[in-house]
Amino acid sequence: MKINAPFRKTAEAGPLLDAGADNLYCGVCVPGRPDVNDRPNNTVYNLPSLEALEAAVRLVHSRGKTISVTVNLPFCDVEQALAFISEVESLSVDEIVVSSTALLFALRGRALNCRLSLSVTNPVFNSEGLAFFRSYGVRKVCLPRHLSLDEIRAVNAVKGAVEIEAFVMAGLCPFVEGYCGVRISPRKAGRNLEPCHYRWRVERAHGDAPADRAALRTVEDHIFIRELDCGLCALFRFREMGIDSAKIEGRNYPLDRKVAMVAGVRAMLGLLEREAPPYEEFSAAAKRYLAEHYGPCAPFNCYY
Amino acid sequence: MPIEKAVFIGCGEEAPAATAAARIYFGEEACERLLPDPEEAARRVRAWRRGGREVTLVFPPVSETGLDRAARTLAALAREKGLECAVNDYGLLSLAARSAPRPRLVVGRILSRVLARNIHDLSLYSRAEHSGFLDMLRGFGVVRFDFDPFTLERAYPETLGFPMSLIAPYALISFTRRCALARCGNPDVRPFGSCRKQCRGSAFTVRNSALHGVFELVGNKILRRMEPPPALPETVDRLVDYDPLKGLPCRDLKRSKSR
Repeated sequence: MKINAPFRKTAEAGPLLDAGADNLYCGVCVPGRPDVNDRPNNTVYNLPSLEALEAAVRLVHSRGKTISVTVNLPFCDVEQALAFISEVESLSVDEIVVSSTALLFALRGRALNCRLSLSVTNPVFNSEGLAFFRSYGVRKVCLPRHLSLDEIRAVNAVKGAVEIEAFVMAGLCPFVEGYCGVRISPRKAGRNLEPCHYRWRVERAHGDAPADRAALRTVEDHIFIRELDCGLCALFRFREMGIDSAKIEGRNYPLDRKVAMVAGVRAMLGLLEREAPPYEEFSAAAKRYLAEHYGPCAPFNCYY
Repeated sequence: MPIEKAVFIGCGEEAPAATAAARIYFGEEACERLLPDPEEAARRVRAWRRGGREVTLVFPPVSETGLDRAARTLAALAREKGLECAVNDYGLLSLAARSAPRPRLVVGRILSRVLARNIHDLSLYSRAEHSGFLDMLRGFGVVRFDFDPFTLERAYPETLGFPMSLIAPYALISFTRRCALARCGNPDVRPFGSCRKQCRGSAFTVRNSALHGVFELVGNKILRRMEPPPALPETVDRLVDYDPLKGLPCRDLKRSKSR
């Protein structure tokens, strides 16, 4: 199983590869061009330029690893996106991560010298969805965060030639990202604001809904993004299923945190490979690792 | 253009006794766990149709389990000519398109918020690609798009190429497959823990400090009350009444503002 990790500076690539990443993904800012990337068009989330990407590609390839570039805005200027893909393709990136079905439609039949991957922002929930996007040349699919392990297993079982990626650390948004309207039109305009990072507060209960403080607290906790999200225990099942890639979220996170997440996933995969412990033992080790490096395991932080 | 009136009936709900609606939207948009048993769905659909009402069967985005249930429901209704089926993911769209006989497919309001914008993106790029994409959707059997007042603001009806329905007054803003109400008062329930259908007959009004106004948490959905615009696009020829809070008593909660 490969580890797919985010980065936003060329200088981050080396430490992330050292920690055990197999593939690095990033967006790229291109001044003066409409955004084609599902993150704010700035260097908090993205590489600053195509020159920086070129340097990163050289570095990553020199280490025998691969690199993906996101063109994953669900809605985009198709012409600009195609032009951008041509540019990054010429820099020998290994994979383009696409979301827009319109863009995939426009790309069909084009000979690309890199692989097409489907972003989680165009969610695939089932085998028929997988087949739909496979017909557009997609060769890797990142499954939504909102599939259970059994549901992931069912899709993975019929993946054919498509690689399947599942989330393992950070970014556990409570809502189905690709179809979410919460992110649109935040009140505090001008800020890079994701409303789910702000707490929701229950004001009224309807019908039979409980109104005691503990019940309300669980509801409020449930629909709120934390930043300790973890699916380390699931690596055991992912390996059993033959999941191809474990994805780590957090392009904008500080490098030390990204490195720690990659190292954690690598350590847990290493444990599986070396010792093949039973699940209970593996899960206990994963929880210990989490507690030592981030914080305690809790139901609200748990991916699966 | 005459506007068809429809009413949305969730799974487990009864149709209102007195309604002028000529069409019933029946099903679940966001939670496959609430989908009815295929035989039960078929029985209700047949009964409504015998009573002179048309039916649009509504499905949420479905996992492999939900896909199987949807396929069995479509098979149970194979003899119902002209049945509409609203789908909210590409997988079920593909599956339903291969059903025999094929239902009249509606792009549900969850999928339409993305797909309608994709159609518009292609129209700006190339007339041929736009036309090819619409042909592809028609080839799947798509006959209509559903919207609500929230998605209508982003709908680009002039490039859509299909008739539109408007579901109101509650717009579906977002949904999760990790249900808050299933965990309500019991934080140790696993993210995909067992569903006891706690959402039936209960909901919460919620507010987020980063967003204007209040929202309703109904099961795994975040809804917002939004009235339809006074002037509808000409291509809107159906209004669907959707009010899951209708008839539910409401209690204000007095809580400290500690956070």
